[in-house]
Amino acid sequence: MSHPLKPSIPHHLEYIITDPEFLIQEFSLGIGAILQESLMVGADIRRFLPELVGSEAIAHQVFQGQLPYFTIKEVAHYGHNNPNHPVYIDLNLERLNPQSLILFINDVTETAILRQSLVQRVNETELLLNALRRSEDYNRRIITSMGDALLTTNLSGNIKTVNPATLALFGYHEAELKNQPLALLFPDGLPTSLEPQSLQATTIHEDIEVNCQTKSGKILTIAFSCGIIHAQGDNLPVVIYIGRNITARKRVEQEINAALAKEKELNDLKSRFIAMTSHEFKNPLSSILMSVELLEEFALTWHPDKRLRHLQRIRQSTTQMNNLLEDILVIGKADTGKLEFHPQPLNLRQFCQDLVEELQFLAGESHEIILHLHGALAPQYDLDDKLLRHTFMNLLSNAVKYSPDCPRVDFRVGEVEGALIFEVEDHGIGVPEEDQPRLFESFHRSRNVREIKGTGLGLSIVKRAVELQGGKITFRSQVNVGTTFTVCLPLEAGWSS
Amino acid sequence: MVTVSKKICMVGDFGVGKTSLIRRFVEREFSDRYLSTVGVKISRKVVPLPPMDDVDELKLLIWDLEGQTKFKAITPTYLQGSSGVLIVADVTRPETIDHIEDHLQLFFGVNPAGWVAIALNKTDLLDSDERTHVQTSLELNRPQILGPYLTSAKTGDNVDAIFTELAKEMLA
Ligand SMILES: Nc1nc2c(ncn2[C@@H]2O[C@H](COP(=O)(O)OP(=O)(O)OP(=O)(O)O)[C@@H](O)[C@H]2O)c(=O)[nH]1
Ligand SMILES: [Mg+2]
Repeated sequence: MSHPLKPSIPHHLEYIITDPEFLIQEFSLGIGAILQESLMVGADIRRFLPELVGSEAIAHQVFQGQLPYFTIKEVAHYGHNNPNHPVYIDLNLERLNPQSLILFINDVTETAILRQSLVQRVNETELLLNALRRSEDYNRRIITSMGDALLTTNLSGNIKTVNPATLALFGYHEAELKNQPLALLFPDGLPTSLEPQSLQATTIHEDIEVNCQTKSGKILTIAFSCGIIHAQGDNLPVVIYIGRNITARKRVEQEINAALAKEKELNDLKSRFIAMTSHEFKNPLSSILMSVELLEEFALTWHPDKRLRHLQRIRQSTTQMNNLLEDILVIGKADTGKLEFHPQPLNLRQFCQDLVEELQFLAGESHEIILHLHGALAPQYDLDDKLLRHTFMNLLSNAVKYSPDCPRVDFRVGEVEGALIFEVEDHGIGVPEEDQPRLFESFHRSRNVREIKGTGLGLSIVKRAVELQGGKITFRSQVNVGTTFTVCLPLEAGWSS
Repeated sequence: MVTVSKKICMVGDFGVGKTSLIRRFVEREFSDRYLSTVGVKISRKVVPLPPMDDVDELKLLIWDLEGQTKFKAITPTYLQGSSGVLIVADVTRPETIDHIEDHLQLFFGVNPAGWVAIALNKTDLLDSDERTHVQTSLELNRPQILGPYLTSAKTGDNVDAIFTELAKEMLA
């Protein structure tokens, strides 16, 4: 649309008329007030309206009639007379006549300011929403990708949200956990330390170690960090639990502790062993030494009987040391796993008779060892005669040793319901109740043995030997009434022949 | 002494930092406050140029346009007579980067021979990994397009550079 040249311009329009080179020819009265400039005829319009700088080419096109008009809407204009407050103006440049251009200027400050506050509000909201979306997305991504289990509950302990790590850890589907009580994840209900009531607001509770239960019933050790979050506004508080599976770590810890305990035990054993051996070897050694010294000095002058007594004492001490050494060797073998079970066909009846005979000889007149063979024994059993010998030599010699005032020792052997049962019964000093639990430990000796000699290794050897043969040893004992050891060796198929 | 005046426009989505970039370039200032621009505001800045044969001084007229929103597109008449535009996007808002292409078309539709510089602004909000990612993810191998520049109106990073590079190209 092109304005026809009008004889008079409507009075409510403000305008500036210039020549094609932007030199002012004429302007309306109100224009100075709108622009906050002091305009002058003959001056370059761009001095007052720098907004037109750069529009010369377009103005030229308008002047040539190549463009009907040129508009710039809502230009913020900072007038020289009021530089801090912009006026918003619409500029509309048209050709007035062959000599002039006319620039209509419309003050739109009011609507622009209104629009500004509107745009401001809309844009701020958009930016805020955008930031929220981003952070929400960001948080969600962190929560979904985190390796730790994250759950939230309400104050009554009902699960509200779970992340994938939680589902993977406990083996549930999301729907199976949502709105369920948190107690579901624990074998004996929610531990008090994790109850929402016991969690203080404002503090984070860290590393609460508890046992949890998976859907399949597996027990896991989980370290929880938890806290109560009060979201803004009227929202109810949320309880947040972050759990890390430390089951594997715990197991390793336990293994290390067990290994340490074992090592300590071995150390104790070693020191007890050294204490015992030095003591046990010292006595026979010093008595040997003493006899040897006496013999050196007086052998020629002594009566042959006296000489013999000393020689016998030397032999006795040597035997004692030899036995001790043998025990130690057996224990050492058992400890290092070198004691082995080699069953071979054995005539048990004969074996027992020989053993009793041998021990009776050693015990001499003071004791009577009675062998009772019960029922029908097979002619042969697959047994390890070495292990059997270790076992019953020890049990029978103990029976003799610890019943100094009661001569009778019973040794019963029989086959009962697919097992060989051996019983060694004495009527001696017995084992005090306090010592019974540790009876089979190396170097443990009951408090009532007093001057009776022993290494504290015998029963420990017996127990290992019996277990190596797949059997079991038990005992019952009463102080000053006596002790009965029962060894039970199960006969597996092919053991008896 | 020859002074040349050139008009450039700041184009981009709302809130990407057009006004802030101008403020940093012209007044060497930055504010965290957001005051959305309506219509257009024109600023001037004399750009010192390296010694050249014919031009001693360049007066840049920088048109700060109202940002594009869902409700209002950029008014093309503002772009008339503009030898160059600075298209600005906000690196923390991927959609503003997606819109660069629209702004390019709008500008070249009005000024096929004009020059464009692309500013990926607010890079101070990114860490170094994210910065390289943003820069390499934008493919703009076309003549008459400079950048993308990773700018920050807040720290001033690349702000002078992007304006002077664009100015130089417009004079050449
Ligand atoms: N951190 C940071 N913030 C920035 C940067 N540039 C701008 N901002 C902020 O972003 C918001 C918008 O900046 P403006 O410069 O007003 O954005 P605009 O593009 O002019 O916005 P419209 O006028 O609405 O189109 C303001 O709060 C600025 O402080 C920047 O480089 N870094
Ligand atoms: Mg702005």
